[in-house]
Amino acid sequence: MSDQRSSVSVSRRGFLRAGVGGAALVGLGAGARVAHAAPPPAPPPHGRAGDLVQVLVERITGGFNWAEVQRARTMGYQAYLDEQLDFERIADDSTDALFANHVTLRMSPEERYAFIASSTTNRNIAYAQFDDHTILRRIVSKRQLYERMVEFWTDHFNLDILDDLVRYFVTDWDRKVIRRHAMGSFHDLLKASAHHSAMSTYLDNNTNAVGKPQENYARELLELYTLGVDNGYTQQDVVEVARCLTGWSFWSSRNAVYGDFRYIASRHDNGTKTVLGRRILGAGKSEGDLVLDMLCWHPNTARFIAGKLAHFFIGYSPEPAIVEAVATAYMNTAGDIKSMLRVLLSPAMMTHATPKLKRPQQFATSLVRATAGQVAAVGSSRNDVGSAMASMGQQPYRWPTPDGYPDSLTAWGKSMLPRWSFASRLLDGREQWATIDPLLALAQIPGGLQPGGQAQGINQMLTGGAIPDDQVLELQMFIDQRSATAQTLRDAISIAASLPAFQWH
Amino acid sequence: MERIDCGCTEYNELSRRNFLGDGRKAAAAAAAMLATAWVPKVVLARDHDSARDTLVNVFLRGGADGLNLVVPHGDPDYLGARPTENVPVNQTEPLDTFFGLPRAMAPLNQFYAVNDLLIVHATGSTDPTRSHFDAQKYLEYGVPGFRDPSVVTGWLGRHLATTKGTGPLRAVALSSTLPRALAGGPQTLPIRDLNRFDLDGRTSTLLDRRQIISNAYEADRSVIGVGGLNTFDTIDLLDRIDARSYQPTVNYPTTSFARSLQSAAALIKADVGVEAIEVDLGGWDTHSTQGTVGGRFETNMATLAQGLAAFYGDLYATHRNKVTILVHSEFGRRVEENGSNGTDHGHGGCIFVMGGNVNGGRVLTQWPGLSLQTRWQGYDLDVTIDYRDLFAEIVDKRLGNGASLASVFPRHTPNYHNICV
Repeated sequence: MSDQRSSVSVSRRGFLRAGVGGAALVGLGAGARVAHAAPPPAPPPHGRAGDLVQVLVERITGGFNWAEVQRARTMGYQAYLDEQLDFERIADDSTDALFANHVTLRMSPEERYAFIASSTTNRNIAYAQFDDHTILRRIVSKRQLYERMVEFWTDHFNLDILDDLVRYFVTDWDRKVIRRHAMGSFHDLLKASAHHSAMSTYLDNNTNAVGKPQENYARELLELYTLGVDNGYTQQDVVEVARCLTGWSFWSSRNAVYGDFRYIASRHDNGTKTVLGRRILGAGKSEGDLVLDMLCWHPNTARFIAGKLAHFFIGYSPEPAIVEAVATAYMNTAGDIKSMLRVLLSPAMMTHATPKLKRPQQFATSLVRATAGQVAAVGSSRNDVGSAMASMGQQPYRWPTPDGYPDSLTAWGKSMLPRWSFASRLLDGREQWATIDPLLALAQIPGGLQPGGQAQGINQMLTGGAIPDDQVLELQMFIDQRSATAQTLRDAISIAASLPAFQWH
Repeated sequence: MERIDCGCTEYNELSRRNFLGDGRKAAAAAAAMLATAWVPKVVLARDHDSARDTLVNVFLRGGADGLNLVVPHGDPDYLGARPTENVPVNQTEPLDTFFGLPRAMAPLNQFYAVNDLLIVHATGSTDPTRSHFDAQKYLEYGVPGFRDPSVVTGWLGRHLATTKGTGPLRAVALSSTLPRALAGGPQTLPIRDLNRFDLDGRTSTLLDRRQIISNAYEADRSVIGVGGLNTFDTIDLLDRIDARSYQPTVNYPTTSFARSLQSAAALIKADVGVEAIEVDLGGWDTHSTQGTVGGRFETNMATLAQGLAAFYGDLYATHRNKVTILVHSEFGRRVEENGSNGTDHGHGGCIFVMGGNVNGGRVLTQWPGLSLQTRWQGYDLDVTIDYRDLFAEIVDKRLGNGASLASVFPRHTPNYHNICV
């Protein structure tokens, strides 16, 4: 690793240009420009040059926040990371208290079924409370890295709340699968997911039975959750894994056991199977457990999970050596997620971080965090959290297919207007779930409210100083042409949040 | 590793900056701030190349069951493989002596009758994968079976990048994220709702806000810079068209698929240089309780057929010779139904091509048969007509870009099937 060049020292522009073939300046007609006759000198990546602490905070939290970065600087990189890794020791009662009235979050599947099935209003309440919980925690929780991992696994094991019975099981899934194991063992996480009714109904394994195998779940188990697509298995393996998992279902009677795992022996195929070259004799439910163990210990699983984690935290094309190091941590610790993160998020790795486009949810949470917004768990309303996320195309649990929301420049890079509109609505006070006080927000920044300095204050507040000088100047002129009222500052913050610099982290 | 040389990086779009005039940089900001009115950037396409069709790309995501979309009743193995999930012969309209169209697809019959609808069967991507995500990816990138990870642009995107456009919005996907087929296309945006595409916020500061944001995106060298600029041009374009008040000549169904097609029709009829429109329809991944008759699958067929029929009917009088509609999926489904009254991922399926210049009114196929011996890998309907042959012929004859086929479909020598003139 030592001879690899630090990506952080490479400019964002350089990075992006390299990513698409180096033809960036063709046809620019730059000669006419007064301010920059030549291409402008490359700014440091988001103004974060050498500031690994800021890079770390932006990657492992719901977004840049001035006070949080100061706190992390004071603690030091490693101490801050250790704090976030050791999330169980971070008291977070105030976050939990936010959802005290969101009763549907804590209902059993049986209770949830009764509630949702009783009326459309109730169904919408249940959906809205879950959206609140998913997004608002990412804004206010003190366990920020933990919430990022919840986001990561929620995408990895994606479910569509509108599919089949998922809506009744999804909060139980969130509690007992995703949140219970988000920073625990991947082995436990995978096994919990395989036993859960939400996954079973989503990918139809509840209908997988002897003589009529159903390979939907078996295929995604290999392709999306463990080995990676076409990475060491064949179509025959898919069929054989499906046979091993016949009879894995859940209780469908709507009583106290509704949604609990249920192995139905009469539906199990007890014949001999061959999975990944290994003969598996008929042994009932334990065949499926054996398959899960084989997948958990498989080096391709280690590499696949490591690669996805590196993509999530480091950049779109992480160095192979980083992935290898994290995969090694996986193999050495039986898939311990904290151990992988400890390697992946170390300063040595984080120096290789390259800019990533915020996805819409991260855009929203980062804007509320940066502006020190006050959030309220309002539940179902015309302007609720879910509607805001839907307007940008990323409502939680609404991506229909099991691959989860994309995390790529191609998918999101040309969809700017929905973000700008969201920023306007939020700053104009039209989002009921978040209130921004622009004067209070800017007061946290030294000099943020000084006449003539507000735009620089906004720049520091949103990005730590990543907005180019000429744009800061334009923003200041916007403010100076009006009186620097709260309303003017609202507009100015919404403009700044719409600028390119705020789209990246 | 072989790289695709198609000259189609996002940065081709930057040449537009000249066309737009001087970038409104910081030095000019002072002047700009004083001016309360901005000059609309949009120059509407006055001489849009009408020799090129608008391509409407409908992706049926999830792997649509081709054997029940267009039913091969003439194959002796169909009913045996599909004891439950079949369409009975008396519930189909015969297309020829071999194939029939399920009643839910009947709205399309009228266009088959006037030879504007071509159905191709036992076709699709030759990529062997049964993964949705890989199948979609390599189909949309146009490199099935080749899988060069350096290819990250779509076949339609490369077509657009290798032709000159005239409008400010050359391609649009009616979705929140950009489909891969359009990746790399200049002046290409995902727009979920064409009727609601406007800067939000207070009108009293609208112009100034717009000015500052557009300046910044104009200076940005990345994908989002290009996307941001295209956004402003498109806001103006849609404002000029006023798609909201569009009056279709037919009644569209109320499905969101049909609503998207209706706004697509508004764009096409405005003749503003939109060359490609993608509208996706999901819900085809029918592993259990498929509902071929009276269920989910039939409902989805009805959504597809009724939406398309309204759309084509709306365009028929004035624009049928200016559009080509392509309907396809990432793969078909297993010949044998599974034990859950559903079907698992398969291989070959069917593709629909519609347009005034399509040689339709027939089912084009080299039918491989459904017997165990003829199934692909023992499971699936084989692909005997490569989808690239169909798409390439359209790119050549209807989109006027035969010269760039080597970039649009690299490593493929197309074999035309006389599907259009």
